[in-house]
Amino acid sequence: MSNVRLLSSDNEEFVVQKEVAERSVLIKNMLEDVGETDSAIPLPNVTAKVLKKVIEWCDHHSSDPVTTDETERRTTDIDEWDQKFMEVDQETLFDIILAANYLDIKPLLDVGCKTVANMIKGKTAEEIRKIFNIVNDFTPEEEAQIRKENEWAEDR
Amino acid sequence: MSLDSFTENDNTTDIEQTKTNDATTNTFKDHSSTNNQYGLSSSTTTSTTAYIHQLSVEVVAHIFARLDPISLTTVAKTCRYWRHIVKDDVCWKNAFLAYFGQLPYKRLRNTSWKSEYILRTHLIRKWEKGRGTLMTFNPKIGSVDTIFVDFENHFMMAASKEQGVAVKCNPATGKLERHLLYSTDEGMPTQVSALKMDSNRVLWGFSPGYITMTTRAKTLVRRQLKVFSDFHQGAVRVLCLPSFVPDVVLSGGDDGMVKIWDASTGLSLTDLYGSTSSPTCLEATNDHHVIAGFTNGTVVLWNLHLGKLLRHRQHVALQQQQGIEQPDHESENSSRQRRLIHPPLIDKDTPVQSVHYDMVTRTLLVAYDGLSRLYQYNIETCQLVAIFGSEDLDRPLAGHTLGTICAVTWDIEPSFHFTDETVLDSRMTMNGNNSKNKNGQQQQQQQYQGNKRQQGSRTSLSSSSSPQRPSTPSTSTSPTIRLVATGDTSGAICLWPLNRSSSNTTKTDDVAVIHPLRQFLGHESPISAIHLDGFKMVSGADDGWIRIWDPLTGEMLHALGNKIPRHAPVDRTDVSLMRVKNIFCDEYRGVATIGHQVKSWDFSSQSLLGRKIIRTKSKAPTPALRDELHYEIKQEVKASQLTLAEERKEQALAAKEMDKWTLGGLSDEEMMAYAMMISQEQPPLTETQESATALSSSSSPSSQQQHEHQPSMDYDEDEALLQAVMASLNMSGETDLNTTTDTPSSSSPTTQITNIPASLMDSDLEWPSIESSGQSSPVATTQHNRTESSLEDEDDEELQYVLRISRGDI
Repeated sequence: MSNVRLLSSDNEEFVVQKEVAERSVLIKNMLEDVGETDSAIPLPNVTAKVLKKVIEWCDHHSSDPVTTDETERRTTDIDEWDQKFMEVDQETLFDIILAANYLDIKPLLDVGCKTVANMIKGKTAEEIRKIFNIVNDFTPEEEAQIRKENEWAEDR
Repeated sequence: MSLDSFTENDNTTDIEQTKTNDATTNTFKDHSSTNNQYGLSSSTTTSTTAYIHQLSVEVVAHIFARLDPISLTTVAKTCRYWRHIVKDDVCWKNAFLAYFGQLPYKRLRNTSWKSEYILRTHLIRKWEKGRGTLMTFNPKIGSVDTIFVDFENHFMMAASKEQGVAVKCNPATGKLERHLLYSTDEGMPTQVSALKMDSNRVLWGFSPGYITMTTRAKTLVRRQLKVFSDFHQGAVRVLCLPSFVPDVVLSGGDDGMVKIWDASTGLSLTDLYGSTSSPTCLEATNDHHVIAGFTNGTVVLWNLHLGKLLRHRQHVALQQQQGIEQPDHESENSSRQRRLIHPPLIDKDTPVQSVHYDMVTRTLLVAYDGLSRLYQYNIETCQLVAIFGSEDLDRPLAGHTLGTICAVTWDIEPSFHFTDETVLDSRMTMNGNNSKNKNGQQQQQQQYQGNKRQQGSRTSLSSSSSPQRPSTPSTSTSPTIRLVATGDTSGAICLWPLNRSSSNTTKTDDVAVIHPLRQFLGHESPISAIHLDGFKMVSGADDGWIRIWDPLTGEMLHALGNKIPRHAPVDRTDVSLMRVKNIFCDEYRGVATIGHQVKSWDFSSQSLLGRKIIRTKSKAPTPALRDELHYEIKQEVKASQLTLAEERKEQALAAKEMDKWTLGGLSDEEMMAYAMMISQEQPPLTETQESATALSSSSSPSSQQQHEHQPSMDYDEDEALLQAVMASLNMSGETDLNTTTDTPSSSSPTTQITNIPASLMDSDLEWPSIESSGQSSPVATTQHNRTESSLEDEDDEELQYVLRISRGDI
């Protein structure tokens, strides 16, 4: 089993199994383009901390079959291991999502998005703002307009 | 992918960063400082950075795609950036996809995916909860065979073959109209062999072969029963009321003939020979086809322009009246050519069960009794085009395997065409770089090509199914799919794509085999009725159950049972009592017949409101209420009489007072002259007082008011004059008007006209209108006096002041 060396943005090197690394479509394509190589693959968008997490995830899911996500897209429930894996602070969570998007690891991206979606669900706008530290940048006029637009949601 | 993609990705994220607001631009700087935080909740309390804004648009859109509509709108309320994202309809489309797993077969709202998503989830909620009116009533006409429902006008017609009667009722309240519509003139229940109904006509066919038609009208008198002048040589089996030609009706009898009638005269227009057996179904189509199915399995087609036929006949009849004989046109005969579609199995007796014609693909769907597949024929060439259901019964989604088809329906409403589809998809590929969407677009493009090809060569449908591609079943559903639903004797329901069939067909020779999109194991007994529309499918079975499905997800939304008391002496196997024969639905409402009963439901939120309205309407003013009103009016009259008497007293007192103050009967002219003299004497005084005291400021208007009211005082004192004026009401009105309006103008040179109190003027001008309204003279007098007295009360003080001045008090 050949190994692949990955280089994070802060110049930390990780050695992973090829099939684990190939969970990332980006790395897979790169390896296909470059062929067998000993040099480390630079990943300038991913820090060591995040890369470690991503590799951890890939390692755990290395045996998963590559599924077409169509069928499982509907559900928003996440399996237990992933749920634990995602119990990180927001910064790391979004870094993982960004890394998953960048490395093109679709299942991980989905898990991340599901996690965030579950955080949003069933909350009021004010609660969401508080959770994500979003600044309310609407003018009063805009607020009024939004309230008008969303009247359908209230008349249930 | 190579290093290029790196930089590309960098750029996009950079752009996103700049797009977000100030709070988020410094996220990278804060990274190191917030590293020591653990847990989501702790980070929310301490950090001030919106990490979520680091995410690029497509990732945020990806997250949003997993939200329900309520959350999506909530998210749009949080900040501008997210609102901007949610505004994009693609976001809603993805959310729709994530929720339903596939795009809709048919759009309910063509405007946006947002409205589509909201409407669908709203409808699902409504139909799932099933809150609202749900009632069962018995129209008391025996087993209900046919219904016609008009939700707009709140009525429905239910008719029974057994008794040959129809009744009008309200599906919302279950109220029956007292007068039944009978099939004969006698007004007695008579069994009929065929029955057809539309909004205002009921067509009855009898086993001896004659046909009658009842026209419904508002009043009983205007209802009419028409007996057609010709008859079949056997029982009438099928009838047809084409909606597009109002005056033509069709009938088919056991003699194998199809007769076309002029409904206005009851005369036979033409006879068509069909087959040697009796007909089972009859249909006339808008594009001039007459289709009849027979028990021996043949389907007979004629090209016949019904409207033209009617006009031609009327023309001929007119000419015959005028005595002009003209030979029949030969063209008529050529149109009479019948074409036959033979049953797929000759050795077995397979009566045609139902025939459905599709105007878009110009094909016929034929279901045969005892066969488990549905056959699609081209109407022009009469060739078999497609078979719904495969021979290979082991294949998953093979179609009806256990039972034979016994109910067929489809969504005949024209489906939307999506001009915005390409726009949406191009945007989607611009936004998201995931391969699935691109794939989707490719498929849609192929679908378009398929559509174009189909429009180009309509005569052969098989060409449209030629683009054979290996694809997964879930992606084969484009929004333009039209559906056919079939139910079989084992209780299973299949949903088939009608005309867009790319992946669900496997072609053998020229005949396409279509596989169902979805199968429902719906009921335990034969399916007897299916309703299908863009949102839902409603199925009814012989056991009296009605089930509502979401064809998109395949989930059952609701089930409505036929509730019979447990020990009721009802034979539960009696199909005539338990069968759900008709289902009629609109967006929120539905009506179905179960045996002798009619079941209606209304899941709209307005249903409760509607009931209220009906209740208030029915509450006519009761006698008790009327008495109460009368009493109130009487009381008011009494009260006003009392006040009137009091006013009169006051007025008498005031008159006495006035007498005192007018210096013991000084005449008007003298008074006037006196007042004028005073006002002229005092100018320097008024000028100084105007600025100094309030007393004098009222002096000048008061003098002028006095002038004004001299005519009124005139009447008061001079009773004779008043009577004379009152004698001619209109005259007095005019004179009043003249005097009142004249006086100020005449006095204007001497007194200040500018400060006439407006209220006074108004009340003065009211006089003529009161009197000219035609009241009797005594009343007019009191009115007159009343106004006067009130005016005088006001003026008294001022008048007294003037008189005080005249006495030399000042």
